[in-house]
Amino acid sequence: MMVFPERHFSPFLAACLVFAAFTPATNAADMSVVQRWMSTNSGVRTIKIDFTQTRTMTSMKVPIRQSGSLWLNYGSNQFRWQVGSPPQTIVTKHNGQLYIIRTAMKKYERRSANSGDVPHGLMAMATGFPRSTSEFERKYSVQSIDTAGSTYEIVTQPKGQAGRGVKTFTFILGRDDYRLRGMEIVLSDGSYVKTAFNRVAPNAGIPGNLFTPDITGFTETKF
Amino acid sequence: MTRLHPIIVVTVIGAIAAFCILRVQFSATLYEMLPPDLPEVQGMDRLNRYFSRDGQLIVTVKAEESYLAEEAILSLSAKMEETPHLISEVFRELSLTELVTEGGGLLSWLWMNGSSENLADLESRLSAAGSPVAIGEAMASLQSGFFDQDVIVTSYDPLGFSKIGGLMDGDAGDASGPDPMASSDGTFQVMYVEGAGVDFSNYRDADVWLKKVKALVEEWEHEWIATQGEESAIEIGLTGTPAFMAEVGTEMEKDMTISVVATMLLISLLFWIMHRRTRPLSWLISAMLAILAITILIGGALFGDLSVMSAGFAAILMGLAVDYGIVLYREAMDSGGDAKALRRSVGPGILWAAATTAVVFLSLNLSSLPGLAEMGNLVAMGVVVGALVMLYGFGPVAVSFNKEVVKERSVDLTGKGVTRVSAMVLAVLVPIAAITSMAVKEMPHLEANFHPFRIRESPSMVAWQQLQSELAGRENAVPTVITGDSIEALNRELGNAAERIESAKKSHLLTDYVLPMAFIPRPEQQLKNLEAIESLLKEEARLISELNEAGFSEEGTRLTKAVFAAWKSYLGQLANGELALPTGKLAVWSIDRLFAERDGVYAALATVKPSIPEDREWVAAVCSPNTVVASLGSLGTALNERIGQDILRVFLPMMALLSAMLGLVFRHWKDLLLSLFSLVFTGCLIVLLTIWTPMSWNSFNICGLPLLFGTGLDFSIHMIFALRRSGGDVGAARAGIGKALIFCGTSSAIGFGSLASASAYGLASLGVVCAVGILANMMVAVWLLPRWYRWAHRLSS
Repeated sequence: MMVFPERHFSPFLAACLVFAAFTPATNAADMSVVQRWMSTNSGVRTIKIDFTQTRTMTSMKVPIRQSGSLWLNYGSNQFRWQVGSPPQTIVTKHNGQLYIIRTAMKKYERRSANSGDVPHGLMAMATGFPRSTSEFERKYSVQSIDTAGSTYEIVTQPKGQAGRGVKTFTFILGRDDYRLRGMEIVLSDGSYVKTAFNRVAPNAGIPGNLFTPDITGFTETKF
Repeated sequence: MTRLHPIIVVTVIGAIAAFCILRVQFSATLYEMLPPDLPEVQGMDRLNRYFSRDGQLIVTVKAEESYLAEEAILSLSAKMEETPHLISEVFRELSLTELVTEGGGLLSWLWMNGSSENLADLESRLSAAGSPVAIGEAMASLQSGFFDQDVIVTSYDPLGFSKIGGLMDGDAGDASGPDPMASSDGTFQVMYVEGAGVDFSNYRDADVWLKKVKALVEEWEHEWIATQGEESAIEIGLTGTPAFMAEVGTEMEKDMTISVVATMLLISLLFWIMHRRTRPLSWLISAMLAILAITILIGGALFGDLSVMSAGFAAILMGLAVDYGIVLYREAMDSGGDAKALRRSVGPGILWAAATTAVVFLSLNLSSLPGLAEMGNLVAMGVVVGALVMLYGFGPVAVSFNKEVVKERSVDLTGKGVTRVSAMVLAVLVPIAAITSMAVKEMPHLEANFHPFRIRESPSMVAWQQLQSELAGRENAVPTVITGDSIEALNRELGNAAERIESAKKSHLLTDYVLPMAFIPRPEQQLKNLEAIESLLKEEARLISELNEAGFSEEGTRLTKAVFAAWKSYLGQLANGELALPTGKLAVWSIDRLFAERDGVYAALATVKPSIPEDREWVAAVCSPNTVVASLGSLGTALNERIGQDILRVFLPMMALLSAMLGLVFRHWKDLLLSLFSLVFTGCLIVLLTIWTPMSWNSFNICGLPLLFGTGLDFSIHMIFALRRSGGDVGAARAGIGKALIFCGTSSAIGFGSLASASAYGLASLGVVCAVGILANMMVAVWLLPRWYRWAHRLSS
């Protein structure tokens, strides 16, 4: 009984943001670009990224543009991701739980960070990202590595379940420092989302309560 | 008499036999050979009748990565759509854009056919007060920053028409749950291909069509590798009704041909070893081919299409019919009379032998397996034909050989070999070994989960099993067919079935189930919802306007418009007094998989998942005359139960009757006991083989027991009477009847043994057990029984 195909599209944006934080940049026209990019990970314990996201959907007349931030603490395996100012959507991970909070609606959803019910992108955030070339190759199939002005564009296909409905997943690196500058995801229906990193702050100080936002008065729900 | 060259005779009659074999139509419908009163068999029958499409091929695609699988299935479906003479339609998983185009008709029908309470909720959501909230929530979701399936679906369906989970809660499971067209990781995908241009009810046509499709797939694979590289290789599987039919039908033809040819060759070799003459052999082969041709013609006329089991009859018949020819040949050589004298001399014996053999094979009609009964009928008919052909066809030719003075260089059987001591030791040791083995290792039992008609090395079955394991929610899922003679009756039966199924789940007999309630047309409900739908239609312009204002594009409002357009169409159908049925490719395809009407009977397809598939308690809990399950898991258990009953009901009384008759034949208790002990001894040998070798009993080959019992008695009667005539002279008995028994036993064993390579597991196992059993009977009768006879009658060595 087919109504709509299950898991046809994958929520990669957030995944990519975190991935970016784990993997600050590289350079070259072959896999050595990826290797150089991965090598920039060393010594990064925490990171904060401010980004601008532009999503263009065939079903919407105009693109939706939003700004947001991502904080990661590798040591405690926690993160916080939010968009909008003031934040409209917040996702945090702590104590093995994912909290998806919609502030305007005063609602939140709680999911196990390891549960099979977790959407793919969130799962990627919850379980971590590749920090080595071999891990990268396990998760992504590289289609091409192109030069575009001052950047490299690593065009990939996510492997496994994460790749369903994703036409291409492009990482954009600076040619000078091999650090991630942004990414672009194109879905099979033609919709796409571009994310540009405005500011990346490795080893930034992160307040402990950032990962446990106050949800007093919020209603638990299932989005 | 004009002499015909043997090669010409064999060639002409062989060609006629081959022509007859090629004209045979086999039935590829395997469940027709099973007991028709079992709910599992009825389930398969109804599943096939209502929900199977003869020309619908299932194509499976397996790739290393999901994107490769998606690209491959798109590319392959495009290739297939280029051949309309071969493929009329391809149905694969739709992209979101396609779903938006196609899905409106189905969604609107589901709402209209669903409960009024759910429709009221939708009315509330789409009301002037509710729609801004719904659109606001949709926009919040779009702006949330996530970019997943839910967000994309929401962007095309901001008013939530596709949120039909609530519509079906409690009655149909989650229709938006497991994807029926792809594995959860996306590396395995399925598409349905509707064949064109041939009659798919004919397996030969289906086979020709399938070969063309395979060629097309191979061509595509070459193109794919050329463009994508070796590392992107795709594994393609073809399954579904046309693949199964083509495979089963052609395998049966192959089985019959191979077993007949192998039997002919081996019997010829045996004849050559024992008689070293070619002319009689060529006529003997010709007679056997003629018997085969006549039997096939008569069998085809009487029974129509032959089943997979009947493919084995030809070889068995060859092995039995050749014995009559040998008796005639030996008698002609010894007596030197004419054909009439020959018939007078051995004709009665041959006819009685044929009659008793026919009765033994006809006794298979007492089995619960119609497939086995059909094979028994064919062999029975064939041995009668064989006796007549040999007497009136081969007999006159055989007498001409007695004029040819050729000294035969045949094998010599003397009284040497097995001594009395060794025969007595074996008489004690073998039963003890059998009893000990049963106590120490295992008791003889029927194989669990044995499906006698399953075809081995079946690519379509491999593809089907892969499909079952890859698609989520398909493990242990059992199709359940509910029928009714009207839509109202069907809905009523569905309700009753739902209660039983729910109760079975509460009793932990089932782990899960899916009922197709929402997909079965409900005329009363549709009329009940009429007013609400009319009310919703009035809101269309306002809702579209609100969506436009919120920023949704033409694409973003397409699904909403499609839903309203479909509602208008359905209202038109209802206004004309018709039942509203969904329109659109997706809707028709989805509904056809769960609801069907044939010849005035309406059927619905549900799915249940038993906790223990092999168990039958859940079958009893779920089934009724109008609710049956196509369960392969419990079918093996059901067959074992049924055959166990058959053995008690048929075989044991038959043994008692034959033993009484044996007493009358021998009129001597020692000979009676010797004959019965020979059977017991052979039984012990077979038990040892089933315990210590891979040979095993199952619901099919156990039915060979009457055949083994019959041949065992036959052999022992012949040998004991020969010993009586010779005064216990072992050498004389072996040189005479012993030689005949060796030829008959070996030829019969060859006939059965040639089935060992048969495609159907049941037929192959029957062939092996019968071949081994007949050889054991023969060896016991020729080598051991004479020594036991002398011991029992206190004859000195």
